Amino acid sequence: MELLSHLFWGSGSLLIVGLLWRMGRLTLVSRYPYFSAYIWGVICSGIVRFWLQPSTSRAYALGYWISEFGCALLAYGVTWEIYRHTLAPYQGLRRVARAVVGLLFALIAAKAAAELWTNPMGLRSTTVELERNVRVVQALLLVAIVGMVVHYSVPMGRNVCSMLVGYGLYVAVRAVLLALLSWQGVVFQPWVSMLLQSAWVLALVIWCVGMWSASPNPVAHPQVECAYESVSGYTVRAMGQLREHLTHSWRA
Amino acid sequence: MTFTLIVVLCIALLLLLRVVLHRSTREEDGVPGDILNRSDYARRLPDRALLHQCLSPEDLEFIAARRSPGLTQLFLRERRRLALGWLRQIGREARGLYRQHLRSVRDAADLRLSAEAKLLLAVVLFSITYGAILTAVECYGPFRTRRFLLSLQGMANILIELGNRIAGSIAPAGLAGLDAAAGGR
Repeated sequence: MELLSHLFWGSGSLLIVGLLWRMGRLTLVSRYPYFSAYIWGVICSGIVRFWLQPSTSRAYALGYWISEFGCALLAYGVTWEIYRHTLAPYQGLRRVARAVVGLLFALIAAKAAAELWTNPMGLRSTTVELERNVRVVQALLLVAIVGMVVHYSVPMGRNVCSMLVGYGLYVAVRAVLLALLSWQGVVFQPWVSMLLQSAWVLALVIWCVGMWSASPNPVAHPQVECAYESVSGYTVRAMGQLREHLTHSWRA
Repeated sequence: MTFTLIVVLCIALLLLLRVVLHRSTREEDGVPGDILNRSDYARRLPDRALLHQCLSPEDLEFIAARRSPGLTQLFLRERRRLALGWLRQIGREARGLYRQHLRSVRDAADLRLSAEAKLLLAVVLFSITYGAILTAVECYGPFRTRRFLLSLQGMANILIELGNRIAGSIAPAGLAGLDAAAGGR
């Protein structure tokens, strides 16, 4: 188990250095500043944890959770980067995405308020629960953005696509494993740590492959700006006609 | 409960990411914005006469008169296949229409969440109706489905008539009561 852990750590370090080197060469660092900041944050947290060794000390536990939260907060920048680059050319879609995200935040706030009302001691949550909640909110935001991308078939460049897929995969695995830890009431499980490391290495592989060459997002077609009101009205009417055709055709 | 919700959310995220990865590049080839130029839209719908012909009672009577179970089975199987083909053509049209709409409006600057929600509701209504009829034809065949739909329509008409009668009998009395109350004041 320990050997495997070292293997993951070593390959992760190599991949992260390779990713930053490639991004630097292609000047992707300036194009994706929030993503780069997140990667640098992860490197810094690794250095801090190494410095605070041994892992059984109190200082390490404190440093581990502080660096973990720092990375989790920096990770919101990755979500912002994906949103910014994917929906940048689509003014209308951006507005709809903002409304959807606003609605999500309102629902989260309402849920938190309701929980606090029924259980005023609920604020005293553990670090695992707190990080789980941070990751769940990230997963929710990603679901909203990816849902729009899929629904409207928004084209994506290879760079942003790899960013989205790698980060989405890591967040999903991390949120589920943290939820599992918090459900079991424990802070650490060796196999959970192994799974997290493997998910991180997989995300790094996806990022390295996607960032190997510069591939900006395809440009939109502003020349085909449509009359939205009439198109929308037309589609609603046509859908109604189709339904009518479907049901009324069975009459003799 | 929370754990289950988180797992469901993460599975949804992973499924969406899978769709992003496997998204066909062919979808991007369509020229957006040409939805309103499809003036021949109605002609693309499958002809109603085709379904009427498929459900023709004369054909059924003719086959029944042969008194051959094998032939009747074959006839019913073929008619089910034809009816399903007719239904699926409508389904394809609806999917094509919605896809074209999404591609057309994604560039629109005045895209509105309320209008999109209204359209989504229309799509959901269509999908429910389409799914119900398709399942009925798959399970019971087109002839029984037609009888079921006609009886459903008949019952709906009776309910509408009853509702109208009840409203008609209540309204004059109610109005008279209101008039009396107004006069008494």
